Amino acid sequence: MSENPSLTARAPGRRRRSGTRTRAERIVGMASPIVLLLLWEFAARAGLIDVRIIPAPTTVATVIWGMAVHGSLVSDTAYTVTRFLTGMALGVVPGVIVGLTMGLFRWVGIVFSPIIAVFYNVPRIALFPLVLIIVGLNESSNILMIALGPFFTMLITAMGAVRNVEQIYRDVARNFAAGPRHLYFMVVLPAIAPTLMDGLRISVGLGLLGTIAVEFLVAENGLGHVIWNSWQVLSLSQSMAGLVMGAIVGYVFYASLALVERALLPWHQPTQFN
Amino acid sequence: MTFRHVDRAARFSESEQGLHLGGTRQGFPGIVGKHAARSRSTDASPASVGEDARSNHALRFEMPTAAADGIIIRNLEKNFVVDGLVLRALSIADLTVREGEFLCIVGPSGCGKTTLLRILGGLETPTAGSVECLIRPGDRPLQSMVFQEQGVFPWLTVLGNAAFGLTVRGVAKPTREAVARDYLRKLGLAAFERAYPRQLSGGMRQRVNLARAFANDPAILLMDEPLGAIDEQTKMLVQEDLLHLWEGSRKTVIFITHSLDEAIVLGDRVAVMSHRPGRIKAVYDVGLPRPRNALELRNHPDFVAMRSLVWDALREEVLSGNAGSPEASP
Amino acid sequence: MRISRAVFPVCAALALFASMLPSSARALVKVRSSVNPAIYATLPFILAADKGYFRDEGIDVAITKYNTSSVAQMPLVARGDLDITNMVAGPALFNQRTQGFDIKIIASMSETHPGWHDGDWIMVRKDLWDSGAIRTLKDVKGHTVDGTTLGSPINFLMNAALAKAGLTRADVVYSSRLHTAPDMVTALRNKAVDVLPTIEPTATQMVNAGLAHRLASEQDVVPWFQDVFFVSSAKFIREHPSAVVGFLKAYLRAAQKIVANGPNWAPEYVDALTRWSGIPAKILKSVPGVPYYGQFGTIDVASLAREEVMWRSMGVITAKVDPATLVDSSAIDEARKELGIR
Repeated sequence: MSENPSLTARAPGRRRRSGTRTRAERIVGMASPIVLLLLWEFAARAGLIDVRIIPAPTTVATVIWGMAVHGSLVSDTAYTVTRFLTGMALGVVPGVIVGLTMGLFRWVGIVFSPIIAVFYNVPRIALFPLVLIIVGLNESSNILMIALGPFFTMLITAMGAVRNVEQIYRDVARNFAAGPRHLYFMVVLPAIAPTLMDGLRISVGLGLLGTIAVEFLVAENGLGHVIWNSWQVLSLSQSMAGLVMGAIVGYVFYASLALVERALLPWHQPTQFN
Repeated sequence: MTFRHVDRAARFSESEQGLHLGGTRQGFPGIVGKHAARSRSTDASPASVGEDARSNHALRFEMPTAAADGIIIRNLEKNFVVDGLVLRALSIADLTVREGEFLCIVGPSGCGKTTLLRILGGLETPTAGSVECLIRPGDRPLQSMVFQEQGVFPWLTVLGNAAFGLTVRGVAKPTREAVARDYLRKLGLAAFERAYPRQLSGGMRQRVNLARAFANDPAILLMDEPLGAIDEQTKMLVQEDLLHLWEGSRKTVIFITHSLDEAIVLGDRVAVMSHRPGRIKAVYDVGLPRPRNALELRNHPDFVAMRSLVWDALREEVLSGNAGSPEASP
Repeated sequence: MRISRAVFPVCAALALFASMLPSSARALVKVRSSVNPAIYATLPFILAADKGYFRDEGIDVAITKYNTSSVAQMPLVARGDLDITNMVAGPALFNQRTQGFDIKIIASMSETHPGWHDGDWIMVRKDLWDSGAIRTLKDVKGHTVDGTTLGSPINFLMNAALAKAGLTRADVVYSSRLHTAPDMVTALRNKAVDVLPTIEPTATQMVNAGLAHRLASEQDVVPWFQDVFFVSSAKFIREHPSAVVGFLKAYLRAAQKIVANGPNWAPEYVDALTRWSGIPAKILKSVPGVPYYGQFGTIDVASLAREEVMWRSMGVITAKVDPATLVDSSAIDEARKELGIR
């Protein structure tokens, strides 16, 4: 039985659909931040912006270079990245496990949902003094604070995702008599994977925020410490340098996440900027 | 429905798959499964219960061999509770599906045909009544459903989807891929086996559904408006594919459609359901010869005659269904 | 007549009232300032405001209260939202110059003096003092030390103390994690720290709670250190020189008065501070004495220079700054002259 190709989809392989971009779009997408940087540089040199507060990009780059070579910027970045990754791991993994459990087993969900709701809605910064008193002023409390955001986010995401698996997939699994192993690994997990990915993206944002906030408040190293401390001693260009490094780190993580998504979920159409 | 239900269903052995006992709530003692020793029906006449006099007028060119009873449905009822009201969806007094036949069920919207199929497919339990299945599938699965196009798993390739039934039954990879590939080829999807469903059109996705159900090699196929979302031209092509796949196999097919044309083109018999609560109003023998050419058949005078016959019964239900109010009790 | 009888008292009252108005025809100059009353180096400033000394100099001083580090006020001065305010000596003062801001030190507010109780102290945990483990600065070697907020005067004090004992940060277990009084108290309680610097009245509170003992004071370590100054932007000094002089005159009058009263708390001071800062009188009174207020306001450039070296070695100052470029003593010199002080 032959199929008229023009009536149907093209053969599998890389395919241009609404999510991916054309060449022209890609070029403009890369050019626009560069144009912004050029405008910023021009404004700084022309005296349109107060360079004491917002230095020119070339100044910032020089400062970054100086801090990296002569100062501790590299190790600060390493500290931030390590804290972030540790906090993320400690938040995401338990969050997903608990969320899945709560979603799959009705009574677990009923019992724990109100408790989660209370804690989720307390601003995490407000919990910080309590955490400090209980855990102490050390790296553990830092990591715990960072992990809280991703933990709750992934918990709620996983629980919701599992409960909202499309009825039709469940019907198919049931009709074809899929056993528990096949049901969970071949049907439920892939079905909720895109939602988990979206939750992970949000968690990355929360994790970065938590990391920088914790470093503002109590850390002696890390990019947050650089930003805050430089500000405290009015080294504004160093503060800006820390900020830029933080932005770069954040961007790298988001980009990595996109790559991970493409690798793990090749069948999914992501709805994000790439 | 939570996954606990699925767990329980999933633990059923293949031989019990899908067919439920009756009378759960009323304690009606229902008949167990298909191994009940019951004498086969000796009914030589292909006409079944509920048929009215007009159906004798059905034209036949080929007398089906005395078909054995496959599935016997008696007093099947299903009630749903919606917002505190009890809704009677289904009320089938008597329906017998013959082994190896292609039975089409037509009826107005909301008449309960989907509910009937879901009961047969193990996705709902009846409120009362019994479903007795005399078909012995051996080591094949008893039934598989052909779902609508959204039922294709987006995360599996076309091949993965087609092989799904075999995978969950533990069939070894080379075997299941070979079988799946075979059906994909028959359905014209061979080139797309590594594609993902999102890259396919609706019609192709539906073919994947067909492949998945057929590849599982069940004794009974349950199809709920499988071609409903497909455009007319593609629909005819897929009907052709379906007939190719089915004719010659000895599978029993229960096919729900709202398209009368489709029912007559595909079916050996057409059952007309009344509006809600659904009863079997009439069953007609189609009597058109096989193998059938889905593309050409519609112009055949016998087809046209059959069509007007069935439409008479159906129209009444469609019209009265629109005017009527649901049977409900608080 | 009745009316004529009423007229006389009314006229008298009016005349009396008129005589109470400032005799000068010049309008009050508005000076925007701010204060964190918990830093009680600011006591003379508060007192001057209460007693109306600023008004006497023709200045209407608008004071905003804040409760964070004074460093946060620096951008306000730089932007022109504040005119004159107090500022701790710290790297921020040097870095602002490097950044291109033009904030000037116009007077010194506090310094050490024999006989007066210092405002900054180095404390040792009580049990370590009692056991004899740490009795001098040299004994700190190998112990856990927290330098508190990087760039603060007590941070300076701690590092200067280590240097004085011939130690470096590497000779101790050094961290910089405690930023507030509650942090410090908790760390002492949990025995997470052995030695730390702090300000009054926290030091007294620690002693009273049996948590710590005084190990060394500013006078012991850096008697030359000036830790709080008045600052203003170069622009404001240029545009309102007489207002700056008047401001400093009012301040000096109050400072002189307090110093003349001696090193002990007068009820008037306790009352003013309590009213402004909310610190309970009981706590203030338990502090052994009033710190010495720079009654002359003279800026010691050498102190700034030594400070600058320390900050640069700690890496908090980005580039070398000549402290003389930070100082503008013209107003304080003029204020002293007008008041007839040396």
